[in-house]
Amino acid sequence: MRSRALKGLKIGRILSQALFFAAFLFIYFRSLDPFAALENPFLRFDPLIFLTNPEANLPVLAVVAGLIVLAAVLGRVFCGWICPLGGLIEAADFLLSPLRKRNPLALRRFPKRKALIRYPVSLLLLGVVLITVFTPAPVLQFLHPNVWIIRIVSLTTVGLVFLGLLILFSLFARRLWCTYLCPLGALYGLLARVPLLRLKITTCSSCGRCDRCPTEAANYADKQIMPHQCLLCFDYEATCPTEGFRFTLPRAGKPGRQSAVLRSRRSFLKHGIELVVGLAVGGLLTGIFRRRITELLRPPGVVDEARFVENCLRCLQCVRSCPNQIIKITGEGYGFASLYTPHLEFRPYGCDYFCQVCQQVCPNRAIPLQTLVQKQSTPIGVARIDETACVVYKEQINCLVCEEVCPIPEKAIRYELADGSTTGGEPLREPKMVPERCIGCGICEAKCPAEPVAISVFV
Amino acid sequence: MKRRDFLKTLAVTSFGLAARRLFPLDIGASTDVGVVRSTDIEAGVKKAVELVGGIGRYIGAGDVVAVKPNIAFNSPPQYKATTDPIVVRTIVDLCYQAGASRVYVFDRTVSNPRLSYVTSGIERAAEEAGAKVLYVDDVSSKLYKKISVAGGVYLKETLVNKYILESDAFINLPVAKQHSTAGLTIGMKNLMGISGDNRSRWHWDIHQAISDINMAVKSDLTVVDATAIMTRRGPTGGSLSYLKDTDTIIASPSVAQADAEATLLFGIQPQDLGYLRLAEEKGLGSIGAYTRKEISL
Repeated sequence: MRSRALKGLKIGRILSQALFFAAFLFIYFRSLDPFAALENPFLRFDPLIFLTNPEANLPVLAVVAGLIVLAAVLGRVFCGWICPLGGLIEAADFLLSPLRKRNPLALRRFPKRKALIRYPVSLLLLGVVLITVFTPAPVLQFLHPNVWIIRIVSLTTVGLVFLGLLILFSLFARRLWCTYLCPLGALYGLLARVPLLRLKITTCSSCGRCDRCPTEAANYADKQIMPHQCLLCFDYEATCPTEGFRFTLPRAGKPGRQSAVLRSRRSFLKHGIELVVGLAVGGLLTGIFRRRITELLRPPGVVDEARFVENCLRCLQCVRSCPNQIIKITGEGYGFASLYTPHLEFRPYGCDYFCQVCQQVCPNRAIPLQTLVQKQSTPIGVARIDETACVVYKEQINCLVCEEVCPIPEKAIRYELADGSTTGGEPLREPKMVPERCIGCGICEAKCPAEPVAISVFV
Repeated sequence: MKRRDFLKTLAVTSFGLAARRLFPLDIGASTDVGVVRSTDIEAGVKKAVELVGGIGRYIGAGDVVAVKPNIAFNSPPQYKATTDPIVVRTIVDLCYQAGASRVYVFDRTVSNPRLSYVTSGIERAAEEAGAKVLYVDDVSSKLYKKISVAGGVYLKETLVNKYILESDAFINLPVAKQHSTAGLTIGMKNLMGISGDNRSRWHWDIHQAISDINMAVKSDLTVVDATAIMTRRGPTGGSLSYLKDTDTIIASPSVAQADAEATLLFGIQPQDLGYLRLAEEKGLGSIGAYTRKEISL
């Protein structure tokens, strides 16, 4: 292929990465406005995320299928041209290249890495992910690049720790995450093994100018390019003096065809073993994380706690988008299965009766998208009055703020005239719950003037 | 007799119309409360303001005006938990026609401010009329100032929104609805929204608190949206079945008298409402004896 064309592809790839990264940032910052009610397409349209909640994600099946076909036809073009985390890693790699070149422990100095490039750990991780997406074990949630990039740009602690890790990786090898660890990359890599038009080395003068492949997909000794690692970055292809890089079909490379097939059969087996081991590990994790946790108040519409934990990506979009800022991040103390899932703390506004922003932005529909009427009748929990704290019961003061702010048209809190009267001589009105009307929106809890709060929502 | 009455009214009205052209500022200044029955909200608001002296009586050229509708809840306008956006728009228009330099529209909401402003339709209506809409997210010292309440029984001092304290004119735009703790919420209760205090606590002595805040800060003009009144399950409502069409706009420079007039729409006597009784005791105006003018459009 002409050097000029290859150079054009390289420039195109860099522009594409910059464009998608900018688009990602724009979408991210736009999504902070609750009135944008924006679904993040980087999470909405993804084959692995699709699997976690197939029936709710059915409307995006066509796009996901398109991504799969794209990978089968062109290979890991998503990784090289689109992935925003990939773009960030590439920028870090570029900035840290002087340090990496001087690092005595850089991966390039270890010949055994070649086997890991051919059979990367990411395949095993993909196996774990593929089995755990159907179970409550949160594995994909902590391995998916598109979720990590969101955690990074939202400057959460875990995100920054991960960013630190990526920077550390950059000191050892280019695209280390993408080559060895990323399960999404592994999935696209598997699809890239479908024998279609692939980049090949057809002629070579053994000058070694091209021996700089970021994922080391190219094995220059025997002039092979591993399609499952090639990101189509076109970084050095244009420097080839013989213009030896060509897109060819597998049949074209006549010499050594038999051995190539044999080799690919063996490698297929090895890949298969890794995937199977991954599936087994995933099964094991599933057993560990089967425990159901029900003491947390979940965003409106969530009725199946196990399904929610399973589907929630921990992207925290709901936490950032909630106009009332009542969705909080679950930290330690609720088990690993609930780590970084959202839960509700109702002060200062409670869950607004007419608001559905969290349902609209959840990219995986872990918070189901309901009609307004459904949302207004699906209980988050149910409120209980603590008569030992309520000033009406305790101090004979007429209050009824809870009844006043209850948004249910029929009111889930009513009052009864008590025998006593207030210090001012008015008849005393005691608030009473009507639990079957309560949807646990927590507005009463948020507005209760007693200290400690005399009305609270429980699961 | 009827024909004579009609002719009399006609004569008075046409004389009034003619006179208003000659002396626009003086006419109608004599009445305390103006009541307009009209299905056309904009015309009703304009007429009601006209009955109590016209906007020029309250707003001068170059004035900065603070307008405080009831935007307490995130609730669509048809449920009448919030002031009708047309009332807000008409008042802002009138202010600018009278030469106001700037009009601010805001409330300290119970629900999320932005959600409430948008859902109620008030943000759009106010901005289209050229007003500046302010969100009151938190009670900062930048936005609130502590003032003492002379003669206050429950409130000795209270935080009040600076935009009101620093404005040249302050217009109160309540919606009339039933209220579980206070009985009714109209103009006086609406002023709870100007304070930065913990208002949930005020409920523990609600009638004193409402009358106290009205002593601390007096609105120049109150225009009550009683186009449809929420007769039960207030102040949130949320069902059209709770509403009664009353097609009424009430205007008065006295908030207590505007409230007293609106109270009658609910079939309640002003004396039966705790804070109105206290308002009269605290010298905010007679709630029984006032002049009123009523017009049907």
